[in-house]
Formats: sequence, structure tokens, C-alpha cells
Amino acid sequence: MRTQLTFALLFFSFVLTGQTQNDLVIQKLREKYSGQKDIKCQILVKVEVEGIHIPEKKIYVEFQKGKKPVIKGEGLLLLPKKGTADQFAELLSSNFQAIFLQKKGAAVCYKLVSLDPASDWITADIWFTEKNYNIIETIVNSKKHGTFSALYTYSDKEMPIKSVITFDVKKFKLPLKFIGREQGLTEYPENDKVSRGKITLNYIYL
Amino acid sequence: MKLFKVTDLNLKLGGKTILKDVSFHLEKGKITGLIGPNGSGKSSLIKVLAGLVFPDRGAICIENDTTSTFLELRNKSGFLIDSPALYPFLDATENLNLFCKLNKKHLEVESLLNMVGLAGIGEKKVKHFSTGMKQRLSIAQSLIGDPEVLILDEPFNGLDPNGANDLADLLKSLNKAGKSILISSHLLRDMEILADEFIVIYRGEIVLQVNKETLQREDKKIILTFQDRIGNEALAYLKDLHAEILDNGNVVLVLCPDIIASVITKLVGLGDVPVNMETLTVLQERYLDITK
Amino acid sequence: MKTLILIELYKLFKSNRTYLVFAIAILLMIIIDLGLYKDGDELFGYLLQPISENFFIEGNMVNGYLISYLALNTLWVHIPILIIIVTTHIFSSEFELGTIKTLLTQPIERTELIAAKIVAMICFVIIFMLVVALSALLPALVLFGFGDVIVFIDGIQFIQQPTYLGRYMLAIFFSIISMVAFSSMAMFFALYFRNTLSAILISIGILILSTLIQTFIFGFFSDWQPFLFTYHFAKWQLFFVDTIPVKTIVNAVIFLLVMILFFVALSVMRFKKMQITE
Repeated sequence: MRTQLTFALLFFSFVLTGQTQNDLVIQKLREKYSGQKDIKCQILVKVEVEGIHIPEKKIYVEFQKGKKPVIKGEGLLLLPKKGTADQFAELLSSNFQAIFLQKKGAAVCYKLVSLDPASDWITADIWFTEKNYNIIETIVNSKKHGTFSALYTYSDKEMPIKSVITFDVKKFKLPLKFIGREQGLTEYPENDKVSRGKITLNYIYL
Repeated sequence: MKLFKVTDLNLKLGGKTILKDVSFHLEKGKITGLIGPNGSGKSSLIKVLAGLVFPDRGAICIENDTTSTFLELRNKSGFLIDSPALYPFLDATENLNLFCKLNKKHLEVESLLNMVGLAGIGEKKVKHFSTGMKQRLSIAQSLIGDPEVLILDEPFNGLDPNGANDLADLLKSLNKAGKSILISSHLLRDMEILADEFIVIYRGEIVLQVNKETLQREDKKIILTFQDRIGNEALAYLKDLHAEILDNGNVVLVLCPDIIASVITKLVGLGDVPVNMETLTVLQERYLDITK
Repeated sequence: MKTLILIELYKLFKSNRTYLVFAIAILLMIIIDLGLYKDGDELFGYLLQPISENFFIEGNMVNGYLISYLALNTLWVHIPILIIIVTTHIFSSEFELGTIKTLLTQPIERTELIAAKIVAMICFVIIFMLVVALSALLPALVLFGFGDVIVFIDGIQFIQQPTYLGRYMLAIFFSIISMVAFSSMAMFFALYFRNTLSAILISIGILILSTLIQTFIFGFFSDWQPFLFTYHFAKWQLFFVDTIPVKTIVNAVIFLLVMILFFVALSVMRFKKMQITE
């Protein structure tokens, strides 16, 4: 009886310690990104999505918390709604459960499970560095748009200088055969075929 | 002297023979009448001369040059073909100016309009012209290049009597100035007055080519109408002349033009005065015979 | 020859029909401008909805350049019809008015006459297309301003504003060749039937039939497409693809030039031997 009790105590202590440690890590992560101020930057947007032909464009963006970003530039401008540098705060500010998955070198991976039924994302795997909590990769499963993954590159600053977002093209439901005309010059996905699109964002913070 | 000679002209269109073995000549400096009923081939013949229609067979010789072509004739001639054909959205002056530009040498537009009696209305759009006015303008158009030869298809169509007289006078004056003229018409009497030479065409064939002098020397058919019954003496005289007495009392005689006057005088002397005398020329007679 | 060409152009621009056709073309452009002024944003918002769910889209979407591009789409049927209303008339009106007799009794060659008419036809097509191009572009720029152009060809093409004008002019130049080709065909029918209405009806019939066959991109008709002139007419759109496929366009130009030569040769041969019995 005593042995069983000791064992149970030790086990739950271990679990609680692990849980407490996880909470602390996630808490620190939240603190880092929730305190984020408005971000002003110049972004070089490169869209590599089958069926969309748009040259690299330099745009000026002002990310404001809780508001639609202000986008300026010449001509028509596209900025992905997911995977940009301001997304971390949005992801981390919602109600979720965090589960430690693995550690690789200086980076750790946690699985976030959304507890908010209204949110678009269901789960998100985030990789970040233990030392300064820089998020280096996210893989988000969303209800509407399938799986997003984003890779972030950092220099000596706290915000990423580059993010590469990949996603499922079919799920975008591009109107490629809707009113457009085909000239047979490029291949684009058939209805039941899924292919990956890629957007590269290079940031210069102002 | 022959200006040009056409030989063995043959034309079939749509399987139908339009012209068959047509041979004729045009005398230089004369007015020649091309006479025939509607559908006889007059217009088709003129279109061949104008280069609008290509014959199946045939040749032309212009001023003894056996290598001549219909195109060469066209280039030295002025034409009026069928109904007037002008641009209705242009005025008279603009129409004539347009054709003037296509001729290396040409008469002045104003003098042309004066010639045909259209002076002062050069700025009126052709679509507002009457048929007669269009005809006059078409004649003016045929004179643009001051051609050596005028070939006119039914030029009197649409003209009132005054207009027809004016045109006849104009043609005579042009002929006096040295132009050779070929006029096609179905109006026999008018052509007899105007033309020096006659070509009769019927069902695509030339049936007669004769000049006025020859015609004038030939016997004429005359029909005499008497008010009362003819006396026996007059009757005997007329029978000697091989006259035909018709049921209605009219007398038909064929006489040499020189003796017509003396015959009438004799009849008057015998107490039988004709109240009317109708003369048919040989041309008229032959034309009527042909076209019966 | 130069005199004959000037005479043909003079007659062309003295005719009310010519101005009527220009007026209709300009009116078409105004209608497009007004329609898109009212509904353009809504229309493109709807078309780009799938993208706008995942992208922020900023910029002047419905701009003058886009309107001018949409106006060019009237090339499918409207513009060819307007063009042949005039170009067939250049040839068949002479028969209808009877003036062919008056012209051919002048000291000119038949070949010269038809060559002058063909040159006049080409001049008209060039002037008409330039008027169409300018009336599609200038009022739209005034009303809607400048911007990038979204084009739905082989996906979604975002044509950048600095490159648009060059592409537009190339498309117009290509379209001039297309329209001359179509007019050449109509010219042949005008000479064959000697009647404007018949020539227009037959040409429009062939245009519509060819366009219809082109829409069946599968099965029996799919192999016929490269032989349809409308297939090559449509290549003007390739100037609005990100990387312009030069080889495809050159092939289309060659086809159209061969078409022009074919119908011109046929028409000249026919006219030279024609019996003018009207």
C-alpha cells in the first residue's frame, strides 16, 4: 500500500513537473509574442502557386493587432493571410492545449490543439528555439484550407527575415476553369489532384 | 475609212448564245446606229467592246492593226452602258472629278456639265437627281477623257423630248468635231434621223449593215390614204405601178424616192388627192420583217 | 495605282456607312465602361473570392487597363461583324450601284482596281482597330485610372502595369492581321455573290460556326481546332500571359498571313475573269 502510494505520488509529481515545465515554456512563448507591438515592414512577396502568375512584388505592410494589415505598393498586391510574421500572436493568444512532441538540437516541437470550436485552425505543430523562443516552423491544420506549413528564418533580430509558406492548392478552389480560357500553355491541377503552392516572404523591418 | 472592224464575235453566257458570228465595222468620223429589239444582244455587244465581257471567240482590228485588242479600243473610247451608274452619295462634280483622276488627259468638269445642260447643279448629290439628269451626267462622264470614239448604249433613255433634242445636237456637234460615235437604240425613227450608218442586230446576229446614202437611194414603201373611192383612171395608173389596194381603200406602193413626188402629182391631176401619205423606209421595213 | 487607292479611300470616307460603324464601335466601348463602372468591383470580387479567402488583395483592381482588356474581348464577334459591314461594301457596292461598269471602262487594269480596293480595305481595318484601341483605352483610363490587370488565361495572370501598354499594342497589331484575314475572306464572298448582304451573312455564319466548334474542346472536333481561323484569332490573348509564347504567336501569324494570301489570290483570279453583265 505504501509502495503503491509512493509510486503514484512519484508518477504524478513527474507528470505535474513535466506539465508545469510545458506550461512555463508555452507561457514564455506567449509572453514573447503577445507583447508584440505593431509591425511595420517591407516584404518582398514571391508567389509560386500553380495557376497564379504574379511576379515578385515589393509591398509595404503595417501589421496592427486585431486589425486588417495596411498594405501599400504599386499595382495589385497579394499578401497571404496565414504564415506572416504577425501570426504567432494570433496563434498563441487563442485557447489551446500544448503537448510537447520532440526536441531536435536547439529546437523543440510542441503540438497545439485548439480548444476553441470557433477557430479555423484545429492543430498546429510549432518548432521553436529553446534559447530565444524564435518560432522556426509551423504546420497548421485548418478546417477550410487544409494544411499550411511555414518555415521562418532569422538573423540577429527577434522577428523572422524570411518565411516560406506552403499549402494545398486544390483547397484554394482557384477559378482556373471557371471563366478563364485555356491555351494549353501551363498545367494546373485537375479537380481531384492536390498540389502544393509556395509563397516566399522576405522581410525588411522599418 | 474603217476605224475598227470586229470579226466572228461569239459569246455564250450561262449556256445561252448571246452573240453568234458577229462581224461589223465602224466608220471613222460617222455616227453609227446599232439597232435591235430588246434582248437582241446590243448591250452585250457593247459590253464586249468595253472589255466588261470576254467573248468566247472573235477579233478586233483597229485602223488596220490586226494585233489590236478590245482593251485598246476601250482605252480610246468613252462609254455609256445600260442605265446611269454613278455614286449616289457624291455630288455631280465629285463624281466627274473622281473619273477625271483616272484619265491622263481630261476635259474640265465645268465644261462637261455645261455640255450636257447640268450647269449650276454640280453640288447636288446624285441621289437627288432625276433619271434624265443622271443620264446627262453619265453622258458627261463618257466624255471625260475627250475620247476619239463614243460608244453609247440607249443614251436617249429617260430624256424628255427637249433633252433628247439637246443630246442629238450635242452628238452631231461632237461628230462634226471628228468623233466617231456608235449608238445603240431600239428607237428606229430617231436613229434614222441621227445616224449615218446602221447596223441591225437580231437574236445575237448582225442581219444588216448599211449606210444612209444607200438607204436613201433604195425604194420606199408608201401608204396612201384617199378620202373617197379612187377613180378608174387613177386605179389603172396605180396598177401599172404594181400598187396593192387594201380593203380599207388605202394604197400601198413601193417607189424609188425620186419619183414619189411625180406620182402624187399625177394622182392629183387625175382628181384623186391622197389625204395622207405614210412612208416606211427600207430600214424600217426590213426591221419590222426581221422582228415579226 | 496611288490615285486609285486615294479614290477608294475617298469613296470609303465619303460614305455614311463608315462613320456609322465607327460610332457603333465607340458606343460599344462606352457601354462596357459604364457597365463596369457600376458593377466592376462586385464582379471581380466574386471572381477572386477563392483567393481573397486566403490572401489580402489590395490595389486598384477595376482600372482603365483592365477595362481596355475586357473591351478587346469584343473581338470575338462584334468587331469582325462591324468591320465586314464596310469591307464587303468596298467590293460589292460597285456591282450593286452598277458603277463597276463605269470604273472598268476607264483606262485602268482590273488587277490595279482590285489591288487598290484591297489596300483601301487594309487601311480601313488599321484605322478602325486603332480607333477601337484608343476608344477602349483612353476613356477607361480617365474614368478608372491605372493599375495591374488580372487576366484569366491558363490560370490567373497578374499583368503588371508598366508592361501592359506594350502588350496591348502588340495585341492590337495582331488583331489587325486577324481582321484583315477575316475581311479577305469576306471580300471573296462579296466578289462571288456581288452582293453585300449575302457576303456579310455567309462570313458571319462561318465565324459563328467556327467559334462554336472551338468550344467543343473534346472528342470529334478537338483535332480540327488548328485549322479554324478563329482558333488563331484567339491568340491575341497570349500577349497577356506572363511569359509570352512567341512561337505560338508566330505560328498563328503565319496561318493568318497564308489565309490572307489565299483569299486575295482567289479574289484577284475571280475578278480578272469576271463577266460584268450587270
